Amino acid sequence: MKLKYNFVTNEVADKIVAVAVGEDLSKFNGFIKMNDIGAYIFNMLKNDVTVDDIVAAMQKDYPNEAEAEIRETVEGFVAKLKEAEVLE
Amino acid sequence: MIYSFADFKIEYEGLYEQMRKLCLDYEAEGTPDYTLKLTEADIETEKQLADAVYSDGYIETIAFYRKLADWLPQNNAFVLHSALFDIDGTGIAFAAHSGTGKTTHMRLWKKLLGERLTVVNGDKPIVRFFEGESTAYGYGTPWCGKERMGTNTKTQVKHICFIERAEENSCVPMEPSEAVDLIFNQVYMPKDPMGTLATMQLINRLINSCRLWKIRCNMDITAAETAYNKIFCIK
Repeated sequence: MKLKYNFVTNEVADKIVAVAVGEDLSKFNGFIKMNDIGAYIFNMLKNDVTVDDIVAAMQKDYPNEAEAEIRETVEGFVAKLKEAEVLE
Repeated sequence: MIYSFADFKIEYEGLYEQMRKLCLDYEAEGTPDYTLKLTEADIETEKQLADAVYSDGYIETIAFYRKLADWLPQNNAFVLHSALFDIDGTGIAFAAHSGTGKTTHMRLWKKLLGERLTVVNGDKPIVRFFEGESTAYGYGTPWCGKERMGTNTKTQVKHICFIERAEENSCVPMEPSEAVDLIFNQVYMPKDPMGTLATMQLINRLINSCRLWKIRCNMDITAAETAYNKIFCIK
């Protein structure tokens, strides 16, 4: 799975906000607000990856977190992106 | 023809009389910062975006503002959908979805404060930051809503108030993090990625340089009194 649209992201207040750009702006005329972990996952989804790929990458970058917790976070965030219809 | 919008000199040769009439108060002289040209494709796109069939003259005016709004962010400015007014040098923007009553609430403030309040732009002011200054300026433009409330002037934007209708009046301060959704819904976002990124940076700068308020208000004059007293610290 990967993001359907091209986005730019930037920090606004204490959040990371993603907005679709170019012609994609008319297809997804909203924005996605996330925390640092969300932004990490979002960034990975710019390429075609699986939940397992994301979990494996996060285990390396967040070695103190348990795999089950990481998986729950990734699955929860991916579900929200699916709900927003921004994933292929 | 040279126009001055938000202290930018914009060169533009209008196609229809409506554009010239609309911008009469904004005619200027000098070297242009930007020469704006509308193509047939721009006009066609605007027709497709319009919610009804409008005259070509009107379409030109909105296509112009869209093209200007696309150019602004990379020059430290953007269009904020809000009703902006000035009270003794303090700029206050009421932001809300269309139909929430920001114009009505601004009229109540006008009733309360009379000549002390100048409406800068009732609908789509340009907000501009300058090098070395933390506070943004908000500008009047000819695009100021169907009520045509606006003045060719500027004010320092010191407060942004997000308006909601309610039975009981209240005015409470907000943190920038609470305002992210609300402000994003009211900002024109260019399609161009660099413009989008610049707009997001300007939004961040704006919400961190203003005091932010949530105003819940009814249609009574006491709504204006409650919010005014709170914002200006009057007991």
